[in-house]
Amino acid sequence: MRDRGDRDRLQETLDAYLDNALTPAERARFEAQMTADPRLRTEVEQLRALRWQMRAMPRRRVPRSFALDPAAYARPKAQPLLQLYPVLRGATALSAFLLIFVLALGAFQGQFGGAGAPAAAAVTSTTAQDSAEIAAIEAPQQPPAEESAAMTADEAARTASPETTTVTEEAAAAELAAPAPAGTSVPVPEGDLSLGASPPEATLLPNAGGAIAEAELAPTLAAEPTMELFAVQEAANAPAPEAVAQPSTLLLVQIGLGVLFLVLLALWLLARRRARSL
Amino acid sequence: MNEETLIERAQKGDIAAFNRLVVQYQELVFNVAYRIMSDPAAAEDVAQETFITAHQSLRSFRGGSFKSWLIRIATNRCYDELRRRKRRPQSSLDEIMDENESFAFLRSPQDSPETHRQRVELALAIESCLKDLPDDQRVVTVLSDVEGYDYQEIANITRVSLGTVKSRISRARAKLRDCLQSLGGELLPVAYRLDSKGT
Repeated sequence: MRDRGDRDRLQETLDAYLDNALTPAERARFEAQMTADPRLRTEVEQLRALRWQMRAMPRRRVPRSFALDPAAYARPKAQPLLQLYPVLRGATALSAFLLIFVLALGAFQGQFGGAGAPAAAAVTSTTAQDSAEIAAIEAPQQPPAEESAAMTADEAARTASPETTTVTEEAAAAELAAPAPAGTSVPVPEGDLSLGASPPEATLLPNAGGAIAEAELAPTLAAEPTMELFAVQEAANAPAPEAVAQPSTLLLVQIGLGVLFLVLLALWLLARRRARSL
Repeated sequence: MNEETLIERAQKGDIAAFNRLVVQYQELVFNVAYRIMSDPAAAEDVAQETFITAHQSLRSFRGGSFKSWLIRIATNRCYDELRRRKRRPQSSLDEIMDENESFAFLRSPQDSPETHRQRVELALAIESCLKDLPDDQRVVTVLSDVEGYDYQEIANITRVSLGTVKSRISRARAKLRDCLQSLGGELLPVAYRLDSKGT
């Protein structure tokens, strides 16, 4: 007993045989099969008869003429969408490619907050006039350095002797210097910035041992530059105003291409629908 | 004037040239539509719409078989009409058949009354079985078995793959055969019964 798939395949072969759609080899194979299987031969004869009967069905005469009225159909209507179908197809594909390209470019430049964010900041802030804003944008990227600098400064303040109060201030200055890479103009208290590069040195200072009251005062003294630091941090956390206010050229190109792609896609789909309805 | 010249002139707006093409193909288009729709009134509408659409889209015709292009438009119009009918069912096909003219078109001058009766009964049986087929299968069967198109032409007209055409034809014929055999005892004259050899 044949399963359904085999039966369907055999039926298709049988129909292809009747319609002369088999290759000579397939035809010879099927005829051999037919000779060996009388039921298959009967089936072929039945379908041949059916096909003949259907082909022999008389045609109906047309009830009327379908010729078009010359007054109403003097000129074929222009079908711009149908005529432009190949052009629309190419233009849609091209705009899709360009859109993908500019979106990828934007992603590469960190436009969407990806890994390339600093690079994007660098591009979008080329019109920024002071380097403090660059620092403000870059500052959030380096919180660990900032925190370690702050902690080191606090430690320095706690362990500092009265003589080292100035060192504490220097540590605070180091705190300011740490998040701002070279070349930035973040306002820092005057001091030896070289300490900022090696904050642990503050702990290497000789312990003065006495003057607890002054030692307690040390954090307070350190607090003033820290407040200043918070102000800088807030400025850093705030979005760069120019980057937000001025949409980049790339963004405008992306929007333009997106709109163009959507319009072309809609026209192309419309033209395709019309072409397929023919 | 050959067909290519007529098409070219029709594309330039010569309605007389287009109407000559209409006259040439109207019987074919009407009969394909009639076999698919099983309704002469619907077939008439489909045929007229086919020629109007063909005229409107003539400029997009890029060569190839004009006949196949027309049949493609006609089958698409049939599909549209069948879909519309499914949304808004009309009178049954049996009623339409009853309202139909009395198959006078089947009469041949050589036919005896008995032969004519047999031909009418056979045509009724085939039409009845055809209308019970799913739309897709009916379309390929009409194009293949009634109009004699080959598989590749049917695939081009219906815009489906060759494999789909083969499988639809195969299933449709099996159903038609079963249907005619089930009707055979009552409707089919002996001379046309499928199990009689040589018919």
